[in-house]
Amino acid sequence: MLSVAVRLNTLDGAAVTLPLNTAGNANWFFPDDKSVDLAVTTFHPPFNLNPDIRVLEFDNFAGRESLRLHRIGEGSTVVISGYFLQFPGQRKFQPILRQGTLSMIPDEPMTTTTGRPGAVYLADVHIFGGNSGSPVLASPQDDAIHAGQRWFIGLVSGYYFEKADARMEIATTVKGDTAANSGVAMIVPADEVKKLIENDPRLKGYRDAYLSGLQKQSPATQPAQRLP
Amino acid sequence: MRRVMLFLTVTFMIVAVVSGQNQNRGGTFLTYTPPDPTSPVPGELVRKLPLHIAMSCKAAGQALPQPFAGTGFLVRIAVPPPRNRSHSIIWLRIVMLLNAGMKRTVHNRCCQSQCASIR
Repeated sequence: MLSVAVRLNTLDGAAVTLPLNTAGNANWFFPDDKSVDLAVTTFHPPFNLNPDIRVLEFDNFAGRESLRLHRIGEGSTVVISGYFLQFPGQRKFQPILRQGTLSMIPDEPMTTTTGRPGAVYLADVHIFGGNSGSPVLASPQDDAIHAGQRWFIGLVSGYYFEKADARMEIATTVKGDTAANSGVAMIVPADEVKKLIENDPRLKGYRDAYLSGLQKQSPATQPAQRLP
Repeated sequence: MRRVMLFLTVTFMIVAVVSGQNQNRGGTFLTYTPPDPTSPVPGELVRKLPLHIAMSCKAAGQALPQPFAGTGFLVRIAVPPPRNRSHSIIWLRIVMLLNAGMKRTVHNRCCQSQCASIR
């Protein structure tokens, strides 16, 4: 039986571990396109929890079509923040932040970590086991007014593994192999994330059910509490 | 030359006064408002995005030795999509994203027979 738990920090300076499923029964959503390395599940933190986390919204997304608008392209600075295998944190979760460069936005399919041709970006950022699934944020290159802003462009999927004969092969970040990591990371574009969330019929059904549940609970239809 | 210098000095003083007045409104091109030292630096905010995802598998009542850890993050969805920011919005409290490879690997290695319902 597969069990999944989420560990997140709270405002009181500690961390809580919330099981997502105790009986292997979490709702998972995957893209129809098998080349896309992505999984989504729903998450309902308890109402009495004071999480010290930030939540992305679609407004923070920069899809391929809007990259130029946001002045993001090859050469843009990217940062990732994710789990650090060597020190996950004892009292609270201690994510690591790493910086690199968006190095390729190919306009044709590349072989992804799933072994199938699909849409990915490449970034010059050193990732390793545990960083899998980390959000990737990019900064504008030449927009002084919006300098410091960061846009969500995708999530970490894997990296190229460099062999002694200078061949490069794709590896996922699941195993935690860091030897001969080429430093070239593969990123699942934000478009795929948005597409999955917006178009998955089961996820739509889930949203409808959630909405009707809210209306039943509160005739005044008060907005749910927003996370900080 | 002196007149030019005088003109430039007066102009500079006017600009300084005007831009000083604008400081309370968040600054202009001519001013620099240093960030509030009590506000978090951008990196601190980025560090608040990821979550620690732990996956493990039990087979025949016993936990298999190699748990997996990775990163996830949360995305908030507006339901229904807001036409206007000023409208009241009901937020679906979040979907969590992670890398499918991690999940599939755990599933394939540990749970092939026990977790038939999980892709």
